[in-house]
Amino acid sequence: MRYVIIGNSYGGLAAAEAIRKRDGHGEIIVLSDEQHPAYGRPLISYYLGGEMSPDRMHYRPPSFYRNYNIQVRLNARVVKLLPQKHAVQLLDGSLLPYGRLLIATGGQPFVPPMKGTGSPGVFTFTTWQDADDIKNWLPRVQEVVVIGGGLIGLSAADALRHRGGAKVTVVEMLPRVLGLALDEDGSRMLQDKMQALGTKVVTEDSVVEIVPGATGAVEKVVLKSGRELPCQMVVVAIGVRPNVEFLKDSGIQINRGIAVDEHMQTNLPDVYGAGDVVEAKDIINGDNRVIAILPVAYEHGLVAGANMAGDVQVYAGNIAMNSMPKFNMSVMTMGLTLDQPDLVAVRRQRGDQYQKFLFQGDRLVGAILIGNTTAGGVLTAIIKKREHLTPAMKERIVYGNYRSLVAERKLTWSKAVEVAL
Amino acid sequence: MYPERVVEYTRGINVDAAKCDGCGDCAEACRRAVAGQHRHTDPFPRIWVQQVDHKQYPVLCHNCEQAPCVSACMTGCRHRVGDFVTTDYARCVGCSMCVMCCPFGAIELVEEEHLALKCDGCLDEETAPCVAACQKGALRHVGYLQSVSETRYAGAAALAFSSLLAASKKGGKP
Repeated sequence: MRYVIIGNSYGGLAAAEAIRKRDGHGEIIVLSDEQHPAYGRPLISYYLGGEMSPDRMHYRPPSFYRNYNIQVRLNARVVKLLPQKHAVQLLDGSLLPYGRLLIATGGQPFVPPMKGTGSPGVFTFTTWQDADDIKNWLPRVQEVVVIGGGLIGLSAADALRHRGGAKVTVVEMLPRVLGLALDEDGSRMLQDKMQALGTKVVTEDSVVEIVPGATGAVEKVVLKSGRELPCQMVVVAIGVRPNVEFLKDSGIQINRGIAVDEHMQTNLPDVYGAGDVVEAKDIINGDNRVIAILPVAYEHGLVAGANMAGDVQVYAGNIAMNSMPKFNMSVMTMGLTLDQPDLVAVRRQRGDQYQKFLFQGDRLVGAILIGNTTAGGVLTAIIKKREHLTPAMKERIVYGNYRSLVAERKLTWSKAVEVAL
Repeated sequence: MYPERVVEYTRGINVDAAKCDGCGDCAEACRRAVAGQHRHTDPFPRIWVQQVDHKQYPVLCHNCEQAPCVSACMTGCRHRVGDFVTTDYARCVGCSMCVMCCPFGAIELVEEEHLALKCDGCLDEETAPCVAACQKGALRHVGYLQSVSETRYAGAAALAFSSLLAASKKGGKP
């Protein structure tokens, strides 16, 4: 059996490992359109910030591919999927036949159609190459505009702050930074911290044009409000979209991301999907959607890989969550975080600490932790298992005493997780 | 009967909370053992005794077979070396994705060190210092399979007890 995996990051490699555990002899080929062996993708912000040397970027040790007997082909971009031929077509025109195929191509940064995005000095920030490009451009930069106050935008802004030398302004269309993950109170705290550390934030405004100067390189941006911000660099971090362009006309079902069933299989025979490119189960509302975060991608890969090797496994689903220790502030969000009429929110705020818990009946469905994120995983597990909570248990959660629930084994999941075989 | 990969996990530290009197010897031994990982902060133990309603519960990494902290690790520093889920701290950046995913709250972020620290099993020692320090028999080294079956047994016993209790409260029989 030949397994072809498109994508050399968390989803793809988790699948490769899962396949190799079950099939010692099958041929595993991993295709990557980048020049680096697998690296910790979110580490690019630490790398750009000067906190990480290139030799520490590698996700797996250099011996990994050899030990697992995985062929990795770098700089190999797939341009077409040919399901009738059971093959993929590479950029150089060659066909690579597969027995089973995994699509783990992740996301692609979205650059909105506006004037000036092609000018030198305009970057996206999702790959090691992007970080290198930004690094190389930095010597001529005094001011940077980051478009987008989401996770990627703030990672870029924090990295540039760490590096020092350039004044950074984040422009966010929503009324607040991290607007999809944080509520008003939480976002306000983060924004105050950013401003205190010298990063400017402009909200409820958006860039409508990037203006190049006499040399052709970016000179300023024009905002919707009419305001102009001089800058020598623009980082576009509006969002990421599933990287599915090469699947056009392949007959694969795509909604926002690739549609997969509970075994991570697409509608095409022998074709599976994993990671930021697929829509899989969200435990909280039960439907399928793209949850573009690392732990989810890895779990997709584990399940997809097992199924590709013939070991039938069901993906249990996951929840949206994230952890962002940026701007000297640890922020963690899991599940639902914004107020809804059917949810009861409990807030606790003291100094630079903020906690919010959202309950739906006797269930915890979401939480925000700022300042003190200790044992946040306990909450993640409670949310994921849709645990029924007694009033006494709720009280312990609200008072930050959730570790005691684990200690006492009050929760049914603790055993289940432990012995998952 | 069991997958081969599980059988080979022979390092497990099992907790018998009923025998714990909260003396803290395990924590003290752990603190000394991990001191080298702390450069800018005071070392703290990776095992601690949680007190709930006057009962003592030692808590530490459960060494999950399908460990969520390994799935969540962005640098790849957290991985299973043979018997135990361990960490290459030279590569940890303290992103705290693992803290967010550990269902047991067994990982601690130390912002000053840029590290997310947990029990790594002390694989260099034949007996982990915490186990060696425990005079009460609350901590024991067992293989993975034994650990799993003991945990299941304890879980089943607790369940049986709670249903018994519920029935007696209602005044009926279980």
